[in-house]
Amino acid sequence: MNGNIGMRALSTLFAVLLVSVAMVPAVAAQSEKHFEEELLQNMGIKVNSIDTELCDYKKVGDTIFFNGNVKFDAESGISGKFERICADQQVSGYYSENGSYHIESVGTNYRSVIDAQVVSESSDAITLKVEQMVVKNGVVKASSDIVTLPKTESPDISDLTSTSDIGLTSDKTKIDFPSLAPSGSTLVFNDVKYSDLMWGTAALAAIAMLFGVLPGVILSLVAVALQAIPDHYDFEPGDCYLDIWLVPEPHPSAPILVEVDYIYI
Amino acid sequence: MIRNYLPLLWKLVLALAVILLVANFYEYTQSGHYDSPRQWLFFALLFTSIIIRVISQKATKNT
Repeated sequence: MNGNIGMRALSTLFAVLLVSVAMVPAVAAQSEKHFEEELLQNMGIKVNSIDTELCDYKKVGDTIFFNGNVKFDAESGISGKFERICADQQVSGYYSENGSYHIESVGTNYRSVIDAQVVSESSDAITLKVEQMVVKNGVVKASSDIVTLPKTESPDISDLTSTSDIGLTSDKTKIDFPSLAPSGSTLVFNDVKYSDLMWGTAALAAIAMLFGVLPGVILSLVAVALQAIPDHYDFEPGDCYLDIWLVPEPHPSAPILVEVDYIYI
Repeated sequence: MIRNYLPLLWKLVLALAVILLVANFYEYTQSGHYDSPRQWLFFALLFTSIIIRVISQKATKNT
């Protein structure tokens, strides 16, 4: 029972979340997330946090193929007992306009394949046969379930263009770097776009000029350095994301640590 | 004397730099790319503005 609810939650989460994130602008994505959180709550799942990132998608006919990353922290409540579900996974698969989907997700010591095919369809709901295979720490578990979803909860992909149009780096590969921050460090800024930092510093340098030569010179030099790095290492500033850490006392030589979180090349 | 116009000149050069920065940023938001040499021109104008300002301040002190 627990596994079934978890399976429904995961499969619904992956399919609906990734596809809907593909279709809505970034500004509207937050409201979409609320919708999915409500959907999961109805299934006995309490969502603490969801962070999705769609790396690439392509529409072929009535099917959208996608890959991305999903990080989530949720709790499933069964008979008053809550079980925590945390995941950080790379997800790929497809979603058809009729509601069928296939999703493969890979995490640490974890791999799952979810295949959902439409069994029957009425005017306001679709019934899916959802088959899932999970390999966790080398142990294989397979299950099958019949799920009925209202049609209003299925993403509409009919308006989606055939190629990515939301500024995603569809033809690039994401490289995730491990964090070098020492234990006890505080993450001050997460996923800061390099280009934002570059433009922001250049603007601040110009503003600082009005307040004096010294602040103007210092910020200008920082802005020049930020400008020179992408030129020297040949990467697009918009494809690089940084993490900024506050390092605790035992490391006084570097109170602030700036590191590349991930980059698309 | 040109000295009298130096305080105005550094502000003018700074204004040009800011206009260039805004233009570059607008291009970047529209296309996702920016012209790197033009961005370096912004820094050239910025540092020119700094140099003129320093000269202007020294000239004011000497008079």
